[in-house]
Amino acid sequence: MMNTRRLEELTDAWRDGCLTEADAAELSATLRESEDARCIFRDGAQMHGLLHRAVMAAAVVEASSHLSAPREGVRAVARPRFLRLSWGSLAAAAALIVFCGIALIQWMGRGVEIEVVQRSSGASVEWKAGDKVRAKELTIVRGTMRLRLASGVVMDVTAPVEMRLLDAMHVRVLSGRVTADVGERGKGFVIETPEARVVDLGTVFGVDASSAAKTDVVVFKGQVEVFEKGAKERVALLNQGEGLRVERNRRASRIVNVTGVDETGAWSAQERAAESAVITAVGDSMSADDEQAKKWPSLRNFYRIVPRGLRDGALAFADELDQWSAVPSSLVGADLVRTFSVDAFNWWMRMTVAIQRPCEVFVFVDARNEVPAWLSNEFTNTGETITLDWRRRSDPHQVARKLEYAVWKKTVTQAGEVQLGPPYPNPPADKMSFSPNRMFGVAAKPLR
Amino acid sequence: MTDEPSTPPDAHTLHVQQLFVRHQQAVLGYVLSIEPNLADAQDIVQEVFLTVSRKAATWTAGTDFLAWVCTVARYETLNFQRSRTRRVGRLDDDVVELLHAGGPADEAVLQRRLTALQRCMGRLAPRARELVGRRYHGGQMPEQIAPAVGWTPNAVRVALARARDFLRECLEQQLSATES
Repeated sequence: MMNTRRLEELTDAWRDGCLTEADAAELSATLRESEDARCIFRDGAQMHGLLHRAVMAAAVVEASSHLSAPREGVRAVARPRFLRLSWGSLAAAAALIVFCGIALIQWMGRGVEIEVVQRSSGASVEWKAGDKVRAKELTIVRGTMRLRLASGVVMDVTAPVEMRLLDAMHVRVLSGRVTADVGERGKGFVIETPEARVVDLGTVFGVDASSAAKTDVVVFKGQVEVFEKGAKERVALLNQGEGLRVERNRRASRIVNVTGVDETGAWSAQERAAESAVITAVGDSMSADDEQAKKWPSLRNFYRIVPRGLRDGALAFADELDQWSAVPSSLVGADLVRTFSVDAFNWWMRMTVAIQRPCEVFVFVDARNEVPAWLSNEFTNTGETITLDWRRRSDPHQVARKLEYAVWKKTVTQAGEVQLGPPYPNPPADKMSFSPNRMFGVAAKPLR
Repeated sequence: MTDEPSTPPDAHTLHVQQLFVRHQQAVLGYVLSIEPNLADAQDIVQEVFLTVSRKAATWTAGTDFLAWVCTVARYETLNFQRSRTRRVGRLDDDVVELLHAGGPADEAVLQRRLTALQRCMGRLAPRARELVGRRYHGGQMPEQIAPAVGWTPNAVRVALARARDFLRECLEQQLSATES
């Protein structure tokens, strides 16, 4: 027998967009079985549509009344507001609404202006670099495209992707991966996904909605605000090197690894590393359940793994703009892990590097630091050095200081995990005035 | 993917577009009865406009325009919902067909209900009218309305449910008074 109260609850949830999968199955079954239930639901759905129409119509009348407010000194006749207009002005208003409606719909139908900056050779879209087109939807089944919107925002779109272009400052990614470089003019640019809304605050960031019911947000530069779909309060303010996985009906969680070659758009927080890569994943002991770790800012940081990415000019940390230079020739082309510079303060962290082939694992240590026991016991000092070009956040275009790092090495003969410890051997006695040197770096190269 | 149209519409297509704009609120209302999310429904109505413009030649002047457009709208909505396979919480396709296979309700009946509903809205308390306006004009969900009015989301939900109950009862009274 049909439970009317339950049917109303489910109908309300359907209308408010919060029907769970189980609820939807229950509601579908109820409606399939009972004509009475279908009548009730149909009435509720029709009322939903009518309420929108009634409220919109009231808003149009309200707007019309503002447009034709009586001049000062002219007494308005006390009758309902929508009758205050003359038939002539009502007809004119109606014509205007029809005209504006057509113009608006045609304008929206034309879509958003896009400049095609670059396309991969296999891209499943006929546009070519240099084309200026209009589109309101974009579906790419293979390849990549770099597109510039009229707001100056440059988007790297990686197939398969399905997105809607609402305007030059707002896109909706239904599925797939998009990386946006918003520039100065694009501050406030919004990417929506089925799970999240990401508002840019001047940055380069990526959104991946490839997997069902979850969206990954990662920040490569600058800052973004992340909201759950439909929520007013933000879930997080993410800075450079931080990421967040927003899942439907689950608490947002940290993204630990981001892999991919060092090009805009060529990243993933979900795919495994390529067969040819040495490092497949990096993890740490910073669990959200750990009371001490909860206070730590790096709970939102991700390790960026860049296959064959070590070279002069490679970024050293996921959360800073420091770069490696004077890279020994033997290390050029090694897989690089961008650690977090903020972990220089972290004396309880343990890091795990997963490798999939025999290799040499390298750790670069600030030469000013005392060498921790885990390093001197397990690794060998090669005698080589690498330089960290340290850049102040306040002046990122200038190298503030060149810091020498010692290169330590460990040979690993089979696939597995390598354990690394904190950059400092012991907790400092005076934690308040603790002023550490820079964080270490990690790389790996296959054994020949 | 939609490129810029290269040729201006012919007279018949323009007539169809004008009729569409005249009926677009009715089309939106119909789409909302299948796809309750306002932003998605508005997107679908844009799609319907484009489809109707492309297929304008298949509509014969003098036949029921709204019924024709609503048929297009139903297919567009179902296509939209199918393409959103990642979305959880949607009704099964066969159920949507069962619910809407008969097409839209008679527009004359809907117009009577709409007029009555507008009168009923005038009888809502100011706070309730504000909530209904935010929910149905602004497309805001209770969680978004709550901080704006200083209530909890649940209080907003309860107040909206009461307002809808009041409107439903008022609507029935209005219609039965008109018919008697």
